[in-house]
Amino acid sequence: MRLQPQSDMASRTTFLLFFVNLLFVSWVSAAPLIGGRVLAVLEEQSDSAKYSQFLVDLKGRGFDVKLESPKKDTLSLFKHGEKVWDHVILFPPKSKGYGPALTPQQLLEFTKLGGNVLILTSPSSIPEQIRELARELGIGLPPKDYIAVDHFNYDTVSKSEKHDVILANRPAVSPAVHNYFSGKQGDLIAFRGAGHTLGNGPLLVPILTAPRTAYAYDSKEDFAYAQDPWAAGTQMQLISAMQARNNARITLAGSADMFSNEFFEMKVQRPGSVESRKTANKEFCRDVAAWTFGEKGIVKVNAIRHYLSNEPDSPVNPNMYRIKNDATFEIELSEYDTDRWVPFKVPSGDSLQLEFTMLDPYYRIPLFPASTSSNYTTYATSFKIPDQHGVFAFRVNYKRPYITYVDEKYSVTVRHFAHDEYTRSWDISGAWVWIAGIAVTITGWIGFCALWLWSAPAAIKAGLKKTE
Amino acid sequence: MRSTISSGMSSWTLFALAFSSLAAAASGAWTFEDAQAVIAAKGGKAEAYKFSPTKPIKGAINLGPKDILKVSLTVKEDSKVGRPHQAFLLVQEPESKVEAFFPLNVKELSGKAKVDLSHKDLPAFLLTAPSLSLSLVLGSFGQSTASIATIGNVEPLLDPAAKALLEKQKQKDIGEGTVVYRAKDEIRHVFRADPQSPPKIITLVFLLSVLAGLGGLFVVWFPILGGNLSHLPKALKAAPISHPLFFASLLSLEGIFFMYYTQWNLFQTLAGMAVVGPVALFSGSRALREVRARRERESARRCEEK
Repeated sequence: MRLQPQSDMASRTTFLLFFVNLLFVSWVSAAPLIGGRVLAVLEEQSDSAKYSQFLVDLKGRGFDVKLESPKKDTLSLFKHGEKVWDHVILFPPKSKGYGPALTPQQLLEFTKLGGNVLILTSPSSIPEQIRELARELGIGLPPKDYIAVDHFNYDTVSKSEKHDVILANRPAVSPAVHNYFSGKQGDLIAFRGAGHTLGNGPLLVPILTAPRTAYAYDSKEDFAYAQDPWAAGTQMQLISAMQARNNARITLAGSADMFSNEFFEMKVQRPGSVESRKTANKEFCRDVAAWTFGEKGIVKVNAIRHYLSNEPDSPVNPNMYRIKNDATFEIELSEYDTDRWVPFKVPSGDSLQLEFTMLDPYYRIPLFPASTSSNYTTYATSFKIPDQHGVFAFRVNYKRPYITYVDEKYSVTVRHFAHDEYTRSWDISGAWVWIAGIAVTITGWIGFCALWLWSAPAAIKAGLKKTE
Repeated sequence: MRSTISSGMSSWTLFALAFSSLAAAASGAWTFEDAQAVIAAKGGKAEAYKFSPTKPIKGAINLGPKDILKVSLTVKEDSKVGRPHQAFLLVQEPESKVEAFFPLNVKELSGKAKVDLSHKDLPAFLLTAPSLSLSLVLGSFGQSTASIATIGNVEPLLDPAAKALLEKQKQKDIGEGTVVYRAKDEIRHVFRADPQSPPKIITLVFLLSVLAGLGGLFVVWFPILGGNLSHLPKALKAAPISHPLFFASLLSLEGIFFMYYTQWNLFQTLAGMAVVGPVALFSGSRALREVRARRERESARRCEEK
């Protein structure tokens, strides 16, 4: 009887320990930032072996990948109006479509709830659902069986006659954007599939662009020469993405093969080069998935501060400023890099801008890095509040390709000078005449009073005048 | 091998094509010869420019609104005539590297290829550029090396009216009005000009003239009109408290105004007035009574003297 409570305690401790352990374990395995539930839509479960390296790599980074067939009746992206998955990978289907659970409307609804979609297509099977979705996004997909070829940058080791394994380079490093796909510049990426075109729109970004001499033609037609190619050159894209306004990402790759084990391990050789090299597909496809599933390019605002510049005791984030005050604005930005937050760096050719607006911006000035901590950078700038009173807003509207959108807005009131804040009259030289006028009037009044009180009448003179 | 063969046999054709080209030229290269670019103007005489893979056309070709640039050449796979799968004329705007492609019409047996280029073929973006560079791409399946050769430069000639129209079209084409996510132009608020004071020297001149007015007033009072303070001892004798008190209260009223001007607020000023005002009222009535009495006495004395 006396032991009972003790053992009870012991079991409770074990239970607690177990629970803590569980927490700890789940924390260590670090579920990805934007959830780890991945739905991989693959018709034949056996095909997963083709993409096993890619999928295992995803699992290794904390994603919980579930393979499902689009034919499965219970397959759904939502349950009770909430999404059941955080990310979806669509492998090209063997049949004509993905079924009723993955219509374009449902995929868009999924992205509206913040879900990310990675669409892999192959020229022989682009289902109408994907075409419809692409049309909605502003991506132009070629007709069925149009493949991209390049007679200058093809792989000579694999099928050298068809030239359909294009060796593309990673996108060039740009000074103005954070391109998460630039990686090692010498890398060769093997691509076998269809290219597509992009419409005008800020939400669409190219990830992998076709070489200058590439073109797309109908592989099922027996033209002896490409009389009317569908698209050609750098206007044709191999992989593109759309980042919606809610930062959900849809990536469309023209080749499912490039994600396969075969291409990961392939040794390739450019025509004219002497040695064959391993492709960088594994790294590149990891970059594509990592970006699409929110492991990269997520920018977060930690804090925003604004205060009067020259007064150390002034309150932080006041509701009100006066016109012509000197104000300082600071913003702390972090960027997510696979498993942790790191300081966000604005590219050298770009500018993080602060706007001070009332209807229209009165200021749009660059913010410069003021300090860096282990996981954020503080950007700051100072300026003089404009000579216009009203309700203004500090606004940082930083929308750039490849990174999540930063749009922060904080309203403050800008008041006029109070009556005792104007320059005093004696500091204005033009007022001296008027001040002197007042002084002269006062002195004259005092003198007049003294004369009125104490002056003896000027009798003698008056008397003399009269006697004369 | 022509496209008249049914599409069911396409893969076979492709294979045959690939095989034949493979067999024909194991390590050949696509090239061309007898190449010329002719500007055919309506009614005018044609101007021909010859070029070869290694020798592009020197100088720029002017392409007028009604001209047609006819490029013709013979495609060769090494020394044999052939037809490559890809035979494009690339027209590039050198600055932005934006490029358009024009497939050449190639005869299979003779390898004769030609393409026409006129203003209406070119998109507005390229047409409005000052200069365009032309290149020729030849490439096909199989092992023959593909080639890309520079042909030369074309300068489209536009009349101003057409140019304005094309500029508009170009803006439309490159997505006028669509947002581009990048840094925007910097804006800095321009403050209204501060109020200006006149030059100090002018201020000082007027300041001196105001002060001179005070001096003039005192000069008129004392030496000319004979103002004096000689009754002060009399007044102090007659009303020793009210006179100094009245004068002091007058001075302190002015002092209160001065404090209000420099640092006091209205309430402090009113409090000061409340203290000094009654003093001035009572002492003033006494002092002025004394002054009247003195004046009456004085005029009475004067009357007696007369």
